[in-house]
Amino acid sequence: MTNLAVEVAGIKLKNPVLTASGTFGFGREFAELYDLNLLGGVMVKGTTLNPRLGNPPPRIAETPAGMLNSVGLQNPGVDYVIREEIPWLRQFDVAVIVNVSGHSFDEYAEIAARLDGVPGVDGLEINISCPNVKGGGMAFGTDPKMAAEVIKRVRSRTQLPVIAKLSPNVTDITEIARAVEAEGADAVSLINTVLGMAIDIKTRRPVLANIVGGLSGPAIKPIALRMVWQVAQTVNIPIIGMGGITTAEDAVEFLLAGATAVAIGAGNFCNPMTAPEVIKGLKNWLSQEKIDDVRELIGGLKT
Amino acid sequence: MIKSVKAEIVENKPIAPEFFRMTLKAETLASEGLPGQFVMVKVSPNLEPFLRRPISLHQINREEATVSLLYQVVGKGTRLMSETQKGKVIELLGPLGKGFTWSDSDRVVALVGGGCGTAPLVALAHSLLEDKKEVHVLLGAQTKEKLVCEEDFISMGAKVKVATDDGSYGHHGFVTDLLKNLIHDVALDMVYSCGPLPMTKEVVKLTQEASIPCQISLEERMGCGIGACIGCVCKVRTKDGAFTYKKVCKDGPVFKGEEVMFDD
Amino acid sequence: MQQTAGTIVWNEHQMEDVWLLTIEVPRIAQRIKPGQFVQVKVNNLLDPFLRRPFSLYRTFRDEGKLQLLYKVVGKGTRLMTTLKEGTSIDLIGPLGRGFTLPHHAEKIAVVGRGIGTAPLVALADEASNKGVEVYCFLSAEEKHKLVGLKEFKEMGCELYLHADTEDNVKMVTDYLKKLLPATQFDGVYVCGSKRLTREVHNLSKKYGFMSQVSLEQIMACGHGDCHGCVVELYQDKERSKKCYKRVCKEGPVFETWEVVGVYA
Repeated sequence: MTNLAVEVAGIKLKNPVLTASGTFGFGREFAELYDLNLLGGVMVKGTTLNPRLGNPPPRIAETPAGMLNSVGLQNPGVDYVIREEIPWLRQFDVAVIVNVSGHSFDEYAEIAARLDGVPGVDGLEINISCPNVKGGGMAFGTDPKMAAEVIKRVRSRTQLPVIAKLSPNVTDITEIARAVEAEGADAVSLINTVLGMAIDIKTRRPVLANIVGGLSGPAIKPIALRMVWQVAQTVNIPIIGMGGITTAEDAVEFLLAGATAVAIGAGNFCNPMTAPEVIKGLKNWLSQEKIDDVRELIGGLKT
Repeated sequence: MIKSVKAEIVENKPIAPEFFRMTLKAETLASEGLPGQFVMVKVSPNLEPFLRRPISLHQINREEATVSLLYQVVGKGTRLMSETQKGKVIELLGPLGKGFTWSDSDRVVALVGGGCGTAPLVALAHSLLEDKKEVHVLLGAQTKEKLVCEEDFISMGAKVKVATDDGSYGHHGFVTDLLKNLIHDVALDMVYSCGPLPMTKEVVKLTQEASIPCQISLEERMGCGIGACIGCVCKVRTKDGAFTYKKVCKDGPVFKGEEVMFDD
Repeated sequence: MQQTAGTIVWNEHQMEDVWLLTIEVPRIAQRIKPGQFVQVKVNNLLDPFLRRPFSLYRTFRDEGKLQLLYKVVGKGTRLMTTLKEGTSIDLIGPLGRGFTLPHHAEKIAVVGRGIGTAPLVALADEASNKGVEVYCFLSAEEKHKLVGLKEFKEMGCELYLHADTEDNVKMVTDYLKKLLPATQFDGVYVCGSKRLTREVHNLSKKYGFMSQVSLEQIMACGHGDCHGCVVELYQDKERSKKCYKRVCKEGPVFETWEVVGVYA
């Protein structure tokens, strides 16, 4: 009997496949298509302290083997999420990880405090790709000191497992990884989207209203894989790897690179059944390769 | 209920330059789909194009368990659709979105369609006529060659008028000129509209001026198509005079004319 | 080298996971030589991203047609099985350095294993048309996986076959060994197995005949610019220096003495 169960930052997952934040809402829509109990975990939409309208449309642009998005964190705010969305998710036997986004240190800390102890919340994923509006707009995640400070503040306000979601738009992601580990992050998840843009040559305008957006999909897989591998060499805390995963084989690549679990993001749009298919495919592959425990793959890359 | 469906293509043929009608064997879509709803079509078995294409339900045939999609070839995805042959099976997600609505008290209605926007109005006209409404259909096209569906509406029993930009057929001018006249001549209970944005804006303006309720179908680039990614929003007025963003795939694609804010 | 569109005449499943693609493409078919290859664009999309390289299997120059024999091993080749007769296919070729058939050759031998036998069919065809006697030593995992039997028989070649499941000889080159030195070969050409290449090389050293091998490598451009498809080779027979050569440009055909792998 093949074991698929893994543990990340103290969170027990029945299998190493989660759905990535921003691509799955709070699970309600996909629940119409398949039983969410199949999943290892759900990382819900980025939640801010106050409700956010998000960016004006157009917010989406298709790119070769991928897509750009500049949704801008439209979400109902943490209080609504705690009141209406988390209780609904409790009916499923899945780990629920709430993605937390803020624009100031205080904001991150406050959201963490409000989510602390809420039944049904198994962990927090701290999205540090947001700009620090009080610090000149530079993203928290691009500076190791700022990233560390966010995690430090969050850490002090919650007992929940804290997962730092790293941005790839940096010169050295291992620096950021080390900084957040030092301040008590229980795990890291990477990568977030890669900054990109698209231009409409007829109108001579950017396709996205926000001009620049985040690139996801198979196009970024090699970048994500490389970063997971680099971070795995640098930190001791577990990694949730993501970036262009559409098949079980892709998931195996991430596990070999050093991830303990993986998340499916934009792949959900290309094929809404991607997550359950990856789980099934992973099971079949392990059985075919006569591997008893998925954990044997973690960090198994030979170099 | 959203379902992921594998449907066999019964027919896929051009009905006008760049316009194709694809008929599919799809029992659930035929029995559950409503006028104004759409499907997300997987146009390629690979990773390229990456995203599915949102296409309205054009005809819903419950007896034969088929649905038809009317689409215009405007890019990579629709071109692939036009090249997919009869007998092939393609994946669809649907039925999606909130469709058109009508009530018993609506007796006389007008449908205003521009270009490919005419597609969902065929399913709508069929349902409204089944419900014994008096249905006026106003169609706009750039030229006579690009006019689609006129025959379908006439054979159903709708009262049809056409406008072409170049005057090659029907009224020389905009379909909204026809609407202005219709509003003047007939007491309308509801106006439904689907088509290019400038046409939609004008329809909303005319119906607001005449205090006639109006439903418009919008389109927007979509990611998931089911309401999870919040990529496909449109700006909508809120009660306090401010605005919010609503999902075209889930809160729409049909919206009330007066609630949508069009940025100029 | 040309980039040109051909028309698919026939795309037929042969056995197991092996297919035969016949393409009408006079511009390439009339110029391509045995041992050369073409770069095939398997669809019109960006996924798969790169073309797939295939050696010439056979050419029918007077009809402007060529044939490629391919094995389904991944995304690209799987897509190729869906190519329909009558449709267009984008090819680049002829590419690479083909086999050298000495001017006054009287007798040659070809040694092939599995799908590697494919380019040897083209060579046997050209040679037998010039009146050269061709001896074929063919190997595969199982008897039914032997490639090119029908074609070699048609050409009147002398056949020696071996499947791994048989044990009358250890490997097919044992038959070749038995014929030497009584039978004088002007050239021996091998493809599809490192082991067989090593055997042929050792025999060529011992008996002094010319021997060539066709290699393969993952390719990007396929015509020599990107340097992605190199193999490590010896620069000289004394093996004093190694170098990298492009399989698409200096190859795919190399002299067996160049190949680092033959010296175990």
